[in-house]
Amino acid sequence: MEMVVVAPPAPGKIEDLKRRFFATPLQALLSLISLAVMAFIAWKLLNWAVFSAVFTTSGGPEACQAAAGACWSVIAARWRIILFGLYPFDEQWRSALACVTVVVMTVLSCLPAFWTGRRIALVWGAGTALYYVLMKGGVLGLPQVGEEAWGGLALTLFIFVTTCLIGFPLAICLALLRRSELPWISRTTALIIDGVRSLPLISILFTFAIVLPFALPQWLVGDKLYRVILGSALFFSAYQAEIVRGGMQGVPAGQEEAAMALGMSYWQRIGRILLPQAMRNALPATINQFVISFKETSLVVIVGFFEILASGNAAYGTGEWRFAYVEVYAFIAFIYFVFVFSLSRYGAFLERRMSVGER
Amino acid sequence: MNSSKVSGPAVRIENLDKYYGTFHALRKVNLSVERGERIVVCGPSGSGKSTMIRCINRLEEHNGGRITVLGTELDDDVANIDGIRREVGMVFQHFNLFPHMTVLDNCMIAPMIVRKLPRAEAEATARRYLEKVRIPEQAMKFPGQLSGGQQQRVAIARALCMQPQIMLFDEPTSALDPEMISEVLDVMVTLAADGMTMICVTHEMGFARRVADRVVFMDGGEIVEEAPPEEFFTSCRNERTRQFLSQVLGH
Repeated sequence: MEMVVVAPPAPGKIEDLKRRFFATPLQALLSLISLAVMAFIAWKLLNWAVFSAVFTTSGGPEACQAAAGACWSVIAARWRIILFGLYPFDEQWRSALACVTVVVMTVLSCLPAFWTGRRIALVWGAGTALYYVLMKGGVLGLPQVGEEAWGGLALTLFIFVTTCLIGFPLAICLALLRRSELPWISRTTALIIDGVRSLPLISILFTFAIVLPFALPQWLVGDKLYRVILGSALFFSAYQAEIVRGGMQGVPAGQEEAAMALGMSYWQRIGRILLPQAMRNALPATINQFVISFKETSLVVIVGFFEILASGNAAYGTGEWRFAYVEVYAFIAFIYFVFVFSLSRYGAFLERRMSVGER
Repeated sequence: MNSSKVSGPAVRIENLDKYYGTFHALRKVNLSVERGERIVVCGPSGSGKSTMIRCINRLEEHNGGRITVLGTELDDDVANIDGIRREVGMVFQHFNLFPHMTVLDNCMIAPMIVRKLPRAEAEATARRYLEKVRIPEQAMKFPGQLSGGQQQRVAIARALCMQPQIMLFDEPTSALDPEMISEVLDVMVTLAADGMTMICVTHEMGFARRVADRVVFMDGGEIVEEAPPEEFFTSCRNERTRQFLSQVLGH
């Protein structure tokens, strides 16, 4: 198999650029104009964001308004509201630790070394328990903080992670039920999936937060936060179920036959043969769904939760920083970007890893 | 299932009927296969030969008649079905290797999760059978990296790792390039020499002549003729058989 591969002679970098952008005088002109426009925009942005910007809070809002550039002092002054929302000021270290807990838990479960049932269960069990104790308190001498006071980044991460944690297994169940050989099962599941998909997320959140308490017995109602998470998990699972089902359809029928012929039971066939291949097929769409869900957490504001975007509104909305909303949104956008971009890169890593051995 | 201690034929098929919707795929098929016997099933496409052997490990459900495998009758009892599938290996036309596992893992997974063999033992068995099908050096590769002939030999090794008492072959060489057919047939010949009970659906008449104890010819969902290869190839009685043979052997 060892062969000496001789690549065709590659043109140099400069040669290549010349050929692509300066082949004719007109092309050269257009290239130069585009370059100038891009440089101008870049300079303006840099000037606004860095050179003329105000970074310290010492001058207060007045110093900002006098300056021509960005007013990053609003972030310096109000970052605690953005990250922690209405969480009691003296207890915000707990919220910070809770954020770290969620991030560590997610990163750990993304590592292939943790992909055994017991380890994943341990990571998630311990992680969510730690998060809950930190945020809620009431034990170990931590003052109790009700869910209605949770907010900011800690809340966004919690809603996203629990939505996926509940929604993903539910999606797999729905996808399996939908391909059941019993028509009444597959049709009922299809009806549920299509039903949930045809409702807007906002109406589902609203129903779970506001309407459900009237319909459920008192002991079943629980806190509004958990009902909202359930609603969002249901919504997530309806979409993800179809993604998983699509992935399953891409697995040839011969795979299950081979597994059957080897005497594997239904769950062994599903767990070892069908799902691993289906998830590989479904990976790009799945990452897409995760990204969308992360950003959709911002919708919980309509049922009264101050996740990071709503906390941002509160951060500039009060009094003296009212003019600095662009900077606040830029900061929040940056936080979203960090999380979503990491998610996408992780998806790319998984795709590379899973494509091992594929022709 | 202590089927090895049960006497009687390895497979007994009585009055087997199978429908696909309104299409009558198998019509009152009767076949008995003794332990250690090698059967080659041939016939034109659509004649029901694949359907018949797929009924033996219940990849297809039959609609009438009885199938008894190693003394156990195939019915709706899932435990019976799983028990029979453990003892009956199958090789498919399109290999159906698990593409997300290495060749070695393909061979180890069923013994480990179905037979509950310890990993070390499963690996030793897998390596032994990969040796037997003459590709021990490919153990750590993925199926997609192998040629068709190599993949089919892995598929045979994978089935053998379950230590089955009966092997079913469903057109094992039909999807292969001509130069790879013989490497697969060689493995099958070795297997036959070891005394394995084999039921092979194939058009390889040379193979039939060499190893079969009986050749079964099917057409239109029926067994038209069954005879030892000598007799089958030289003095078959049925017109349909003669026509088929002239088409298969004619050039």
